[in-house]
This record gives sequence, structure tokens and C-alpha cells, in this order.
Amino acid sequence: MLTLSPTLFQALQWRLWLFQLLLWALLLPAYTSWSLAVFALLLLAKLWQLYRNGKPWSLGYSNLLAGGMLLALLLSARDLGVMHLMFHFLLLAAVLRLLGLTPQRRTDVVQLIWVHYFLLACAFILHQDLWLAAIILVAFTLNLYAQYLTFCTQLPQLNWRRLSRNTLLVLLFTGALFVLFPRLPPLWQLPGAKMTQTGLTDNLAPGAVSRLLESEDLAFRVSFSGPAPAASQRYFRAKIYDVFDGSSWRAQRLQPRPLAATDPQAQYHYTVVAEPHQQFSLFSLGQVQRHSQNALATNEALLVTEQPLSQRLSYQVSSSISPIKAGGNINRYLQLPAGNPQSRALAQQLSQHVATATAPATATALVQRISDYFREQQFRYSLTPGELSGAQIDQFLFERKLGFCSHYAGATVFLLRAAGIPARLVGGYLGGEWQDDGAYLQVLQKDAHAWVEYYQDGQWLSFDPTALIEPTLLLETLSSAALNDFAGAGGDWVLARLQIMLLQPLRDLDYYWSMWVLSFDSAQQQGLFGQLRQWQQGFRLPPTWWLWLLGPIAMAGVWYWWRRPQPDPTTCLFQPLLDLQPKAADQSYQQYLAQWALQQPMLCAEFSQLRDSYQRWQFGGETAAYAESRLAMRQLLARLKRLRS
Amino acid sequence: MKALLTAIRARIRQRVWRWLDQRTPVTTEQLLRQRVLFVFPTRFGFALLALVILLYILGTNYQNNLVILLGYLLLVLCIAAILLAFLNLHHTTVQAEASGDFCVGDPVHIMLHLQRASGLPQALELGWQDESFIPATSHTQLLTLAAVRRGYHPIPRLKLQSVYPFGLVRCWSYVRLDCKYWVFPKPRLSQFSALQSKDNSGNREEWSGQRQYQPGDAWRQLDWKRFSRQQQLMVHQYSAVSQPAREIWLTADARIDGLEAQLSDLAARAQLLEQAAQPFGLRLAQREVAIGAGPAHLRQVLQELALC
Repeated sequence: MLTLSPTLFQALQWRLWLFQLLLWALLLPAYTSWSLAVFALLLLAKLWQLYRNGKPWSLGYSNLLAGGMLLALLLSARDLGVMHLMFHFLLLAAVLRLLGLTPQRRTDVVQLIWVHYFLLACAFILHQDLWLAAIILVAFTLNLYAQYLTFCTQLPQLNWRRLSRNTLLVLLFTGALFVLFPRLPPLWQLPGAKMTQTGLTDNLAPGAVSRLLESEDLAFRVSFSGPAPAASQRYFRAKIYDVFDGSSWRAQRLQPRPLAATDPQAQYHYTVVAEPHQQFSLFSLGQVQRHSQNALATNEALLVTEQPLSQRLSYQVSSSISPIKAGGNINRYLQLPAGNPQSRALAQQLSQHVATATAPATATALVQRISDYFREQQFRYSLTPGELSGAQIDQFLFERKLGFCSHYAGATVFLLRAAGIPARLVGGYLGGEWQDDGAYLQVLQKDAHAWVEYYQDGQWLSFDPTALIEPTLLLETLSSAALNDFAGAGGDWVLARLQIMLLQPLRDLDYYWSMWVLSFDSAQQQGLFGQLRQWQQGFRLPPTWWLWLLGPIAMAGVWYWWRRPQPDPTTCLFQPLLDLQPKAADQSYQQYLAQWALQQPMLCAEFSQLRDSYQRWQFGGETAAYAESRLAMRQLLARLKRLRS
Repeated sequence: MKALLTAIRARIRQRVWRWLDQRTPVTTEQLLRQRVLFVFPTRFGFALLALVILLYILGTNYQNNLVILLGYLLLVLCIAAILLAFLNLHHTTVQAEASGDFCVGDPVHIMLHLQRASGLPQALELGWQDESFIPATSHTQLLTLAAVRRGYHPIPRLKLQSVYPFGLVRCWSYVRLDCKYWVFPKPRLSQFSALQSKDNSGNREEWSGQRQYQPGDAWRQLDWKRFSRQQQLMVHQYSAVSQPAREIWLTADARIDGLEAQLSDLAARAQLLEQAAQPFGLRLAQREVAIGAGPAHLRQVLQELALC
């Protein structure tokens, strides 16, 4: 191995350092605070070393540091999770290797570059947004340039034209591979990252929900193929909270079970792109009829994943908005903790009222009675009703009479259960906002909602008590309508409007990125092939189309040819000869012809004739001699061709 | 077992060399065409291919398209590197030329001329077969060989290689160039000849006339008196007393042991005689060089000695 020249080595190290800085920023979510600080310090040490032209760190020193760090990492392995532990190891190895880099050992540089490529892939596991993907691409370019520098002998002068051509070709082929190469289902389970959960959690405490209802973060996006349900019907189910402990509702982990053959006629077909929330639950409308392979159905007609969702997932669902088929043990939906005596009494009172008023005392009648009760007692909707304590249901129903979705739904389920009707609290999202001219539905965390499902005749019927109190929840909201809401808000309005105008196109772009790049799978691949076949058949265009297509191209070609630079008549005359043998810059055409005559003695007469006519035209001023010399040239070329062949 | 393995390896190597020889005949000027250029991934190239497989598995298991995309990008890069490495060397012409004659034990300098219309190959390394590489930086490159044996030798096979641009693929060529160089015996006087040359130094020279000055004549021999009188440049001519009478024939000295020592002695004596402008001839067992003088004659004599 040859050593690298000092200037080259310095340039290389700077690139590598910059790359690691980018990587450090990209892997931020994987770190604990102390490891973040350690890596930052190590990178600073490298910066100092580069700046002061310091000596590379010795192997022993690096090993000592690595040993200490490894020990600390292993001690905290439990909190980190396997994947993040691996990220730590790799980045540690890379940073220490960079600190100990010497120009004599090119193999070290090569190994470092290899590890960098792998770390880039790790960064892709953590981030899939378009913008971060673009940054990762920049880091890739940086690493590739460092690799290029490693094998150069001097600082290269980049040939931009050739570079851009090659880049285009490489990207084209990569795209082709991406689209055409077969895709496989996951081969085996890989360890997931340990991340904090976002969105609706398994424990529904009113306080947590109120924080969620203020969040502008993206939850998921949906695009419907075919008709879409109205806003009042877009209840995306995510979780079933069936256990109440007096203060909060808890969702149990659901067991996946293959979907029973149901009504094949589904109302709605849609694709959901879910943001990573580190939980198992997915989102679907009503009764799920069919779904793609990357989601699993449960008994409760919910969709779940095999592993906590750690990256964006796109799945297809067909479902109809109809009551959910009940199955399994219904009695567990009657569980209630002790306490809340007033509420229990109210439940008894309401159910007795129903039993006397209507002939068959159905659950639906009781639900109707409960909603009437809410209306009569003038319950109101508020996102800031204040904390509840003690007997929460009693407090809400008889003192506050103020709250939001989880209060109403929780109280309703309590009343139903107390009256002996199986009921459950459903968590999910309601509504959403149409984006990009209705191309897709954007559901934010603030669209989180809770409602009730109660059991009747082997079916679970849904009921939303909150919508009774606050009917505006069911209205269709559009991004433009949202703009008008700001009209009275003063100075903030301009800022908010600006933010929406600037950010929404980016969000749209991000959506299409995740639809077309992130969620490209074998089904889409097959679809694309099918489409290509269709195009192939559709390519038999009527002739007029071809005329329209090729006409402008031909015209552009003709124009280009017409406008091409015209050579002067002298060069035009001698061009066939010049093609065969170039003329020296300081040579006159007479000398050039004499040289030819020397080389081809057989054609001496022709060459002298050509020279004669050329001289008469060029210097004698006889314009007719030009045609003569062209003729001489043509004869000469014919003979020359015969001689040379 | 080990012996068998090495034997098999030697056999295979021999086969490969023979095949290469057939493929690349000896020429004075080698154009690096597709026929003589070879490409193969380096260790790093294989490591990167392994990474591509790893990324494909990782991307498949996490169902992460971006990781798969990165894998494809690296794969296409590996494939593009093949082409780029090939184009880096393609259409270069290589010529070799021995810079003079050499004696046994001297380093032999061979000049290599590299040419291409569109600039030189980047990061090119050169070397002889079975020897290490040196980086090539300019159009003419000096390579050295050790002159071990006297004679008229062809240069060994030349290796040219480059891992440019990404170190993923090595593109190389074995070039056989038609270039030969002379290695003469090392001139070394034997003890007997040394004595004799001392005797010869006693020879007197006598004035034998004058002639017109020619550029290159020794200033010492100018007739300064005549120049001051007549402004005419004349040169004194001297000749050895015995010169016309004696013809010197160099023959191997039988008193010296060993052919190489005898040849070294002959070479040294021939050089001495040439320095003294003494015409001489060479007589060996099978060879003879007629009497003559001048550098060309000396070179002819030395060539005969080298081939002996």
C-alpha cells in the first residue's frame, strides 16, 4: 500500500470529519445524553487535531477509551436496546478510527469508509422523511468523495460535465434496479429500537389526552381509491380500552387472528401511511374486510403490527362502516371497579326508566336515554376542564358537567356497564383534513378521539357522546377553511397563514415521497408491470398523434441544423483531407498540400492542380476557381481512396 | 501434500503465463486495448459487495426501502467502477527504451513512455513482473532492473495497474515490450594486465608533423609560436614510436582463472586501448573482431564479450 500525500490526507480527513458530524446529528434519536456528549467531545478532539495538525492518537490510547466506553454502554444496554447499542458501537469505532488515522495505512481509511456506508443505512432506519433522506444523500456523497480521494495521487480537478453525466447514469440504473428487482418479505425478525411511544398510548388518562389534543404532529395519512366517507363517519379505530381502574382506561395487547370470511362487498378501499409511534396499533375504519400482508387483524376488527411501529408503514385496507361482529368472551366488557356510587345509581335509574318506557328494553334505547340525559343536564365541551380526582365519574357527571371526548366516552361506558350492558371505550382518530385538492387525508394527533361501542344482538354498535355535545367535531375541515379561522386573530394570523402556505407544499411532497418511495412493495411493483403492459398496448397511437409528437422534435432538429456554425470556405474545401491528416498550425495550405504530394508521389499532378486552383481563387481573386478546386478535390479524393484501400 | 499444492500452483501459473503470452505478443509499442486489459474486484470491492448483500437483507427485514435503495446505489457504483477503471487505462500506448548500455552489477535504467490523446491514466502504478509497484506520475517514467548476468537481455513483462477511481476494481495489464538491453562484463584489470599497462606507459611518442587545427584538438598540442607569427592555427602531431609496427590483438589471458574474470580483464583492456586511441582487435575461441578504433568499435568488442 502506498502512502497518501499530506495535502490529500488533510483534505480526506476534513471530509471524513464533516461526514461524522452529519452522522452524529442524524443518529441523535438513538443516543442517551451522556453518549451524545462523549461523541461530541471526541469529534471536537478531532477538530482540534485537524486544526493544529496534531499527531494521530495512538492505538493504546484509543483502545483504553474504547474499553471504558464499551463498559459504560454494556451497563446501559438494557435501556438502549440492541439496535441502538449497535449504533453506538459502530459510531464509536468510526470516531476512534478517525482520530487514529495515519497516512501510511490506507487500509484503515478503507475500513472507515465501509463502516460509514453501514452507518448511513442505520440512519435510514431512524429517518425516512424526505428532508432527512436528502441530508443522508449529502452525507453519502461526502463519503463517496472521501473514498475517491483515498485512491487519488493528487488533489483532483473535478470534471463537472463528465461527473454529472456519470451521476445521472448511476441514478438511472439505481432507479431501474429499485423498480425492477424482486422484493422479498422479511426473512427474519430483527431487534427493534427502544423508543418512546407517541400518539394514543395504552393507558388513557384524561390529562395525557388533553396534551395530545393540542399536538400538531402528524399521526397518519390516508388516500382513498374510490369514494371516501364523510367527516362524520371517519372514525379511525386504533385501540380498545376495556379495563377501567377508577382513574384511567387501559388497553390490552390484542392477539392477532386471521380475518374470518366476511361480507366481500367493502365500501371503502384506502391506503394508510402511518407515522412511527413505537406501538402495535394501526388505524382502520369500521369493519375491516381485507388488508395487506404487512398488517394483522384481531378479533376486535382492529389492525396491528407484529412489531412496534418504528418506521413509516404503508398498508392497504378495505372496510365497510358497519357494526363490528362480536366474538369471544363478552362478559369481560362488564368489568367495573368499586366506587362512584352516584353514577351507579344513575345507571340503575336510567335503565329502569328505559325498561318502563319502551316495550323491548334494548341497549340502544338506554344509549338514547343517556344522550338525552347529557343534553338535559346541559353538559358542555371544553379542552381544559381541570383535573378530576377521587371518584372521577361521579365528579364529572354531577359536579363539573364539563369535559372532552375521553370524559364523555368514559362516563358513558361506565353507565352502560353499571346497567349491565357490555360496553367498551374505543380510542382512535376522527375526521382529518383533506390536503392537496382532496388527494389525501391528513390526520394529526389533535384529531385523536374516544368514543363508545356497546353490545347488542351479537354486534358492537358505536356511539359518540362527545359529538352530541360538540357537533362541530363532525364538520368537514379543509386547509383553506382553517385559514379563514385565523381571520380575527390579529398579527399571528399572517404568520400562521405564511407557515401553512410554506409548509403545506413540503408536507404534500413528503406524502408523495412516502407513497412512492417508502411504501414501494411487491404489490406496487406488480401493479407497475401491469401498467407498463397496458401502456405497451396503448402505444399503438393513431398516426396524427405521432405527427404531433415527432413533428416538433424534427422541427427542432432542422432548426438546430440550420443554425449550426458554418465553417469558412477554405476549411470546407480541405476538410476531407484534414480528416485524414491534421494540418500543423504554422503550416500554410500550400505547404500542407506539398507535404501530401511528398507522401503520395503517384498523385503529385493532382495535388499540384489543386494547389494551383486554390491559389488562383484565394490570392488571384478568381471566384470561379473555387468551383474548380472543389472539382479537383473530388477527383483527388476518389484516387486517393483507391490508393489507400 | 504441501509439495503437491505448490506443484499444482506452479503448473497453473505456467499455464496462465503461456495463455497471456499467446494473448499479448511482443510488440515495440503496446496499445492498451480491451484484449490486454483485465479487471477484477479488489478486496475492498468484495467487502462493498458483501455490504450490498447485508443492506439488502437489512432493508428487507425492516421493510425499509431507503436501505434497499442505498444498497442498490452501492451496487451500481461497483458496476460503474468496473467501467471507469477500464476507461482509465484504455487507449494508452506504452513504449520502452533502454537508456544506454550497462555493466554487470550496475542498475539498468529503462525509460517507459506513456501516451494518450486524452491525458494520462490517473493513479497508475508500474512495475516489473514479480516486483513491487511504483507510482507513475509523468509521460516518461524510469524503471530500474538489476543487471545480474552479462548478455543481451529482453526486458521482463511489465505490469501496469490502477484501482482508480474508487479502489473497488483493479484494472491491470501485463505488457511484453520488444526492448533489449546490453549488459557488458564489468571491466576489471587482472594483476597481470595491470603490470603490463605500467610497462606500456613508458612508451615514448615522437613528433611526426603538423596539421590544420580542428575543433576538438587538445590545446596543449597547438603550435603557439606559429600562431603568434602567422595567425595560423596548427597542431603538433605525435605518434607512438612502435605504433605502425604493432597490431594489438586482445586475447583471453590463460593465466586468469575463470571465464568471467578473463572477460572482465578483456573489457578493461579494451577500454584502456580505446582511451589511448590505439586500434585493436579481438580474438576469442570462436569470435573475432577485426582491428579498428572508435567508440563504435569498442561497443562491438564489448558486445562480443557480453555474448561470449
